[in-house]
Amino acid sequence: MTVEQAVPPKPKEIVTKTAPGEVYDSPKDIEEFKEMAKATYKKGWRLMCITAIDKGEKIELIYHFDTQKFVLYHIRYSVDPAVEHVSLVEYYPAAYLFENEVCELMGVKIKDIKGKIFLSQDMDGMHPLKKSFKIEEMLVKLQGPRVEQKIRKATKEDLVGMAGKTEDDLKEDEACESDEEEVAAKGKTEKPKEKKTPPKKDEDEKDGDA
Amino acid sequence: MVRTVVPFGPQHPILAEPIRYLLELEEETVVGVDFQLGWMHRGIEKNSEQDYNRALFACERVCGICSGVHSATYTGCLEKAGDIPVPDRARYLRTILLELERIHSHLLWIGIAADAVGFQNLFMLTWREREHVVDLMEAMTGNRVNHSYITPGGVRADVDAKMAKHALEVLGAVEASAKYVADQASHDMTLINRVKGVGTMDKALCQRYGVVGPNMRGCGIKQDCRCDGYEAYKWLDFEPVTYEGGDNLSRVMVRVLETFQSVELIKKCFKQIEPGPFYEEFKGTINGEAAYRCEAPRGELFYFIRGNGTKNLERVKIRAPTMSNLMVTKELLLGEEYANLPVTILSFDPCFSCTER
Repeated sequence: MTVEQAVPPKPKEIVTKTAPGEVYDSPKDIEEFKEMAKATYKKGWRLMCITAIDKGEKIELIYHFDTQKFVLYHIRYSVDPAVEHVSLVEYYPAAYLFENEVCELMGVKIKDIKGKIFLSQDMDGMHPLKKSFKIEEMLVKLQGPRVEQKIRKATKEDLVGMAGKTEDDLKEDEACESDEEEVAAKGKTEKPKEKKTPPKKDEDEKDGDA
Repeated sequence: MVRTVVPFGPQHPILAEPIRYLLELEEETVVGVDFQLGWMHRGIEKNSEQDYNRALFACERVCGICSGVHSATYTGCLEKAGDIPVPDRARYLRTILLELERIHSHLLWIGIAADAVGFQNLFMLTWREREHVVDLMEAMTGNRVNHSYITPGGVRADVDAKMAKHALEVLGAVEASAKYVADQASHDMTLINRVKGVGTMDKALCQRYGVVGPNMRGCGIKQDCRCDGYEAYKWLDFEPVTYEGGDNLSRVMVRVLETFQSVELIKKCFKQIEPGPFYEEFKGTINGEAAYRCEAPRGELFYFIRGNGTKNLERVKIRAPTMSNLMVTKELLLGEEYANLPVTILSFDPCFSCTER
């Protein structure tokens, strides 16, 4: 998770690439969306997947359908995360998992969908696929205020401590780091030479034994 | 009658990956099914919102068994979104890898299923044959599992005549011994009694829940994403394998027959492939969105990619086949004997690390 990912991308017109016959429909309102979904059900098409894309204030949902004739069909509809969206479970029972995913990872409210299947129960209220999601906030919520203090300090040793290392490991790491820093600062000194020699001795002993 | 709630998993001897089923039982009969995922979520979709060349390696690690088809679908989607040209030879080489992977995956699954019903000998025999196929993939790509072979614009290495000859020899031997094993297994009354007529799924149920892959073709529905004509499949003449019945036995038989079909497809590929370039370098950014699907060993694999004109992708959506196959178990398992449950769940070839990504 780098800082680059969190930066919102530059707005640019995105071209939709389609295979022959492939269609992207975008209904104007929720009623039209319901009609379109019902029409696909009557045609006997299969709901393949629901993609959710974070677009800032709104979240774009793309419903992908298989027309059973080697051609895909898509319905694109943007929803406000604060408003409850309709569920397609009555037409497509398989939509239950896809809608739970959208609900849980993207924070879209959907009727009769709890959104508690894919993530830990402690992640309640956090939606990791949103662009605004920050991993530090998740760590604070999962591991408590002790971590919060450590993150605020944001020093290297705290991060090492969070990775489950003991105090002895930490001391060793410190020693390694300080050695590296000294080498970088002073160039050739006596200390690194001393440090580097033991492994050579070991190798010699091994050769001798062999 | 008294109802008992029995947890099945997340740790269970037949499950290679964790899922928790909560089963309501009346004596030995299942009357209620619910499941919970969430032990394998690794955030690969979120991690893929980065440089498109790096995201390839993240996507390849979604699944340990069908990593090749994940990279093929990702690159296919990227090539569709970014209009990247691919040489014909690369398309054939990709198809060979995908079919080798299908043989490897099906043999592996037959072994695991045999282990689940207590047929240890079949387990060892199929895994012995699988090992030759994995060795072949290693010779071709350099890696046994995560191949890193398919890349935007082609593949990373060529196959020479010597290796092609070796591959055909190995495949011939694998086919012969797989046929022997299939013959022996299909006449084994203990095995057949265990799987025939168990977990029966009719066509209507299958279509209502949108089941994909060999599980769908085991109900007699003739549908295969390879008929879309991606990669070199458009130049190979073949018909999807189907089997009537919809029970556990037909799901086994579809996979056995598909293994032989894959051998035939690879032979055709080696016959038709012509010398030429296998890679065209692509440098640039992706400004477009596209949806793309491939037939993974477990069924239809779907990717949706949106690039915003920068090097980083805005969204990568992955829908693995098990995600489509999982919901039907909620209805299919109702009325089953508890003792048949492990085999029925396993007959769908579930992969929960794919499902959760």
